[in-house]
Amino acid sequence: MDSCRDIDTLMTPVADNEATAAERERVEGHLRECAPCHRQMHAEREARELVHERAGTLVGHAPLGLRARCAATRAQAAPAARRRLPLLSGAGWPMALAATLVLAVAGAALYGLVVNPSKAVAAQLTLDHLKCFTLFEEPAGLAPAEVQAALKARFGIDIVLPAGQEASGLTLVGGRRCLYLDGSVAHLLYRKGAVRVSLFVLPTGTKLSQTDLDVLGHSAVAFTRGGRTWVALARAPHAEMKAIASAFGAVAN
Amino acid sequence: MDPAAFERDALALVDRLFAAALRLTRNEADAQDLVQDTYLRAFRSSGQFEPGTNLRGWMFTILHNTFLNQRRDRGRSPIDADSEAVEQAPDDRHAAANPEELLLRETMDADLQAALDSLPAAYREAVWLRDVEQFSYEEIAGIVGVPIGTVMSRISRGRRALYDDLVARSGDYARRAGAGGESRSRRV
Repeated sequence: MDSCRDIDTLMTPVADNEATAAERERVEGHLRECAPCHRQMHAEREARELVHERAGTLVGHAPLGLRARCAATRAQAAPAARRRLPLLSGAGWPMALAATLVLAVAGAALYGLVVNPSKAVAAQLTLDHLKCFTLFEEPAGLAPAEVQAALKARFGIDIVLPAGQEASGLTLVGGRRCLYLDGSVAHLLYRKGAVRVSLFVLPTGTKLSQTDLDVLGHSAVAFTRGGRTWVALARAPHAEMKAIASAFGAVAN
Repeated sequence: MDPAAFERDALALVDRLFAAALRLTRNEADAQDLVQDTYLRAFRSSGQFEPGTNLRGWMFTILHNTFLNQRRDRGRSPIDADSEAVEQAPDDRHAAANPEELLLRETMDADLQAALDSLPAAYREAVWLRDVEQFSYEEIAGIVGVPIGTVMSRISRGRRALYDDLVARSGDYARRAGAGGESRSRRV
């Protein structure tokens, strides 16, 4: 008969069905004669079966948002490439899209069933605001004329960017196109000190039934300018948001 | 590999990587950092990944290495059971406290998690990669960077320690619950 030591190293492959038939026979022959080894084999099989059977419960789900944060690391992974194309770069699209989908799912979970479509749109814009500032802010700032030309050349979005808001302390720090609302939404990123401000330009014909919205801790003010609906959004009190919107040329409507 | 496809396939593993990270770190915040760092490294070195090979194994290898690096950076020993003392400690298998063979099928999930977490890290990782992730011994050897014989020995010791721990827990439970408390581990 094999020694206990010889058998010991074979127990794991036998429990895992990875042993040869000959090895299995050796182990089983030994186990019939040796109670301590029999107990070890039993322990190994029981533990294996239990963990195996509970694998689904043990794995579970990653926390909400972790996936989006992991997706966002792709932008960090290739910072040099992004800086070469600071504006409306195509390089970030698949990741941005993935992140949008994740956030859209979160948004839908929160607002998908509410009857108020303006609020659902505002929720989507807020999620986009959070995502794009994390991924695409250009700390050095951008020239409005450059952004305006790029939006038209790359995406056919023909809008006139507000000018003169520097006086209100607003700096343009990014420009993107976001894909929802059956078309393309221009997303302009501004900084006002520590406050991140987004200005969204909705596709022609899209109107919101509400102009003042509070969603997910952010305030949004919608206004009409050049025949389109614009939405200014930030994590700021509503009164401050109104002031920011008027700096973008909003007139009371 | 097309970057979008790589990203999609890699991100599909986030739940599994997070669960493994949680077992490695035993702390949710650290596990999140570990997974995020793992993805950052994966995207940085995605050019080295050969399409058609095992992406899951590749990601788990990065997770393992990132974990070791984080531990080193924080001045902790990477994996306690990597020390020769633990690896070569005499097996106390014939001194098992429980002469009877108990079944574990009624173990509560919380007890299982606690028992897993109390295993030495190297055993816990080996058991997890084998019994939850169902990697082959060869794949685990590649992920963890140890010979196959060591992988098998870690799995074996990990499972036995897990069994002993769960039996002890069920005994405690039985004592606490009185005569009726035996339901979770039936005697054969």
